[in-house]
Amino acid sequence: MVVPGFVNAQFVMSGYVKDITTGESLVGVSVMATNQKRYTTTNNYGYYSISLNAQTTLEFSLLGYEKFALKVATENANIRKDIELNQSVRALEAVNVTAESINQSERLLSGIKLTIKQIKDIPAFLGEKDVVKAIQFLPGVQRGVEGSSAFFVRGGSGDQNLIILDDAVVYNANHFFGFFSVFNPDAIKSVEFYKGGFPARFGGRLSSILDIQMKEGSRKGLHGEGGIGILASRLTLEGPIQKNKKSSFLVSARRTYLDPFLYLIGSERSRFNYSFYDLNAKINFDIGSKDKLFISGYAGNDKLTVTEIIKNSNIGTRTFISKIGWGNNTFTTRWNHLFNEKLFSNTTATFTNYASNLIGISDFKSSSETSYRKDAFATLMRDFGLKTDFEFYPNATNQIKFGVNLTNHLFIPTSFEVNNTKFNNENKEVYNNVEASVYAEDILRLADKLLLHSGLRFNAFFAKNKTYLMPEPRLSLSYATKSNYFLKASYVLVNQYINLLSNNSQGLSSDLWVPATDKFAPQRSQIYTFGVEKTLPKSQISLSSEIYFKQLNRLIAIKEGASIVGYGANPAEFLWEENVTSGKGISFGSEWMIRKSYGRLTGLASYTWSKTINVFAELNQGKPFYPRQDIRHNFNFVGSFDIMPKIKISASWLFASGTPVTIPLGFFLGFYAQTGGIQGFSPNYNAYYGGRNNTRTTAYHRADLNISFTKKKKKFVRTWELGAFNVYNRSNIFYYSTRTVNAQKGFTYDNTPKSLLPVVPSVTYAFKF
Amino acid sequence: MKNILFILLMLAFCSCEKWQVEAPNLSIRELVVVNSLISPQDSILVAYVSRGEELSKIVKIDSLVISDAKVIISDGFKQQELFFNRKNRRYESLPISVKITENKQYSMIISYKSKTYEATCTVPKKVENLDVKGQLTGSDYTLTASWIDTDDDKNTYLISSLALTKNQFSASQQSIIWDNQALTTDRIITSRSKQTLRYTGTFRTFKYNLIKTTVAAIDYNLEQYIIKQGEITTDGGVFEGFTERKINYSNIKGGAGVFGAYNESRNEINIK
Repeated sequence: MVVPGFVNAQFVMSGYVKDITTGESLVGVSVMATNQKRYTTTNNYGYYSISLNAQTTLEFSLLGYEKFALKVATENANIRKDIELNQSVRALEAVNVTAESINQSERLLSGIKLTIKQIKDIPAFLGEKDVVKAIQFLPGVQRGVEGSSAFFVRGGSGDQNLIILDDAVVYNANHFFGFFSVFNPDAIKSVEFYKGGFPARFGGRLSSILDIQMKEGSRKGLHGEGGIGILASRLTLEGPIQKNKKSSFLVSARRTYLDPFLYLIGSERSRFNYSFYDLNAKINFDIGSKDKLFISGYAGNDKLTVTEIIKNSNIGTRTFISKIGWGNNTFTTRWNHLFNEKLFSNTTATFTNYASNLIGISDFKSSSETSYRKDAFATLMRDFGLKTDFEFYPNATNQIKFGVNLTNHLFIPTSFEVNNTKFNNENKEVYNNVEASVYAEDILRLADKLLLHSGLRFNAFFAKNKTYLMPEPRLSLSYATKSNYFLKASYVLVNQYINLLSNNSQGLSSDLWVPATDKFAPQRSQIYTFGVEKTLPKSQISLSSEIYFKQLNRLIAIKEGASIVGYGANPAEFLWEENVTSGKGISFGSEWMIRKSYGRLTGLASYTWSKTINVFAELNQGKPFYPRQDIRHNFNFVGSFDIMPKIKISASWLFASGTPVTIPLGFFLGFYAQTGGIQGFSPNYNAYYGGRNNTRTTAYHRADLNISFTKKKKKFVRTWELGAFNVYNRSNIFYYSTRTVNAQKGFTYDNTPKSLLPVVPSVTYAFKF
Repeated sequence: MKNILFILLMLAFCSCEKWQVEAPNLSIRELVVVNSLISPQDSILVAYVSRGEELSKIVKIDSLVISDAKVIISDGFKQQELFFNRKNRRYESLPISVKITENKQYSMIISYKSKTYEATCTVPKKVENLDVKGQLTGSDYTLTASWIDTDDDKNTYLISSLALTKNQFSASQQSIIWDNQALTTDRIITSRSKQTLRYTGTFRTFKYNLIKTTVAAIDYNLEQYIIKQGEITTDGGVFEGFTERKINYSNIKGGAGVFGAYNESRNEINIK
């Protein structure tokens, strides 16, 4: 295709890049003027703008799509040109590896992009493909406990990861105690992950940014996809709203159906019930040629109930009920506006609601006596956000982004209710905080092969009686050598204004979000990164290595022995600030990755060596200790191979050296009694812990396999997937059970490692039309 | 490029020197545990000395007791050795030559197998004005204890009450649960300024007719020890697993256990 024009004029070529089948805008498409060494990529809305000054061929390429070349003759006027890309039939071709590798260097300054195809190729637990678990294969990322979608990045804790879905924060991304994330991959368009070198437009978390964008929905006919698995089923429908193809919708739902099975396997004495659901919806409209409106939302919820009934005809009936529930709701409205070819804006209003609760009920009934006790613990986190982001493309070597962000956080970190026949106590703490920020960043090509990405973010956080004003400089530099090595260096300073108090980092609903307060200043991190990357065009393999050093200050953690649910304390007196303490930490390491994104064989292998140490004045008697996320060696592999066009096999293997845990090392004689004052003290057996995280678990390793058979039917494409989680049935340690044994011969303590998931086969039927 | 990498790595490692994590270098069987509480009210000085044991080894208390240690308590001027009493399986000193008085610091030195273990504590000031009142409503008895904190220092108290049936102390007694908390029994109370401290508990009297209340001023070591022991002993019930692992408190340098001090005030009232 040739766009006519004149010679030697400076002009701007801009437009949207879309999928030809669905009309869905495509994110991160490389746009390269082949003879001018000018590059850009499409933004989160598929928009590109590139300044040109001569006749050229523009190449548009994206993994999984056929390369599209557009011959452009220069013109004295700017050109608006929307491009449509074809999905490559096999997604195997070496799609413009050169362009991809060059632009990749720009992206890797700040992050890694994962395609949904790559995510879906990874073998998954019970066949449920998972966006967040795919992140765990990347270097520098450590998984949470067995099977969990919780993750730790470069020595940071779980709350230091900002997870956003269509710009709305998701505070708890876990279903089923972390075995699945809340993101249904059928509803997801793009996933971008940053673990250092954060652009200035992101802030508020110390360790990583996981930016997830939902699909917009097909504008070219009704499409759908779904799956029926052992645990859950899912269905996604998308299509145009109007015939003029200027609007579309997407609805996606997923639900477990364990409930009836769990009821059947339960008994009258003991029942366990669990369910979760997800619902994603999105609509979007073009309002003229310069404006677009997107409205999207997510709702998800988990419910767990355990009931135990003990009947004794002589004594009475005692009923214990434990309920745990948590859920996220997000709502986003976005308005894109094109002021002109060089200035793009997006204004976003977001709403996030995260609520969780723990309820314990004890009920006793007999002919002569009744008693009832209910302990309820609830947390709530609610954000209202408003932000405007601008992208300005002044010339071929410069791209400027700037914007302003205002968020109101409402926290009810502890809400108690304690009822029994005698008394009721209730305590509620409420925090209402405003977080405001302005930022500017500049992506400047200093020389042909030298790129500077600089930025400054200025934050203000309003605590109750104190305002924190915090500038955050960001700097990244990349240089391409003649031999096609990319050298990268970055420095970022970032503050975190909200914190997660978590007893065990398992993504359980007892996790408590709390703000920075007058007493506890925002957490702060400085990250220094240096990296090298090399792409081998012939073998289509990219190799990368990074070393990092991270300083963490004003971290907060729960004091030893403290409980964030305040159990055992008087609810009226329980204040979370009394139960936490602050400290600091360092983390440093070296990360290596080899990645192949094209061809019949695709995948990645990564290795991370890292060390993380924390020091808290009130933890471990003030001595340095290894936090839970200090895992020395991490090796991950995931690969996918197309045996035949319709049969694909994929495999993964994870290895992580031992995780620090605090378990009894032995036991000794203490001197204590709960009642009777000091006069009642007498020698008793005590577990001896020595210090915090006094030992390490054995190494974690696991292999998963998956094979898929795809067949095109008359009206749809179906895929059967057979999978196996933990193929060689490794007993990885989930937790240690400490047991006291009081035998006739004497007494002892036992520490028994408990495993959770043996080999788990799965079968899934998926369809797409 | 190699040089840059090397420099960065060196910088990272050098800056981490002060962040060394101590490796445990002690076998649990070599762990010496000392528990000793001193008080002006006690007529005898007592210390329990024992050793740790490995997990899964079945033992009885006697097998953990160390009987051949040398235990000395000193007030800085005088010192007194405690001798092992085989019957009571503890170290004792009778009569007391080192007098225990309030606001005074004491040290303890234990020598065992060529190693020395040390600890110090200071005896806190006693509560002088303990006032305990009770009121019977039906079968519920409401007990209120109050006393005045006389200074602005941080003072910590342990309050405990026992309801008893006269003449049958051992057979019929019940700990009173302060502040209506079903899972706490004795309460630790901390004051940081001059004030009147008041605590109220309600319980069913049943057949009890005597209440003994004790308020012990306790030193920092004993306070921390009781808190940690309470956490270790308390079952989290439905919320078990949601609490941090409990770490033992110790002020015994080189070993485990506690050398602490307390100073008690007592009160008795009859239920009418």
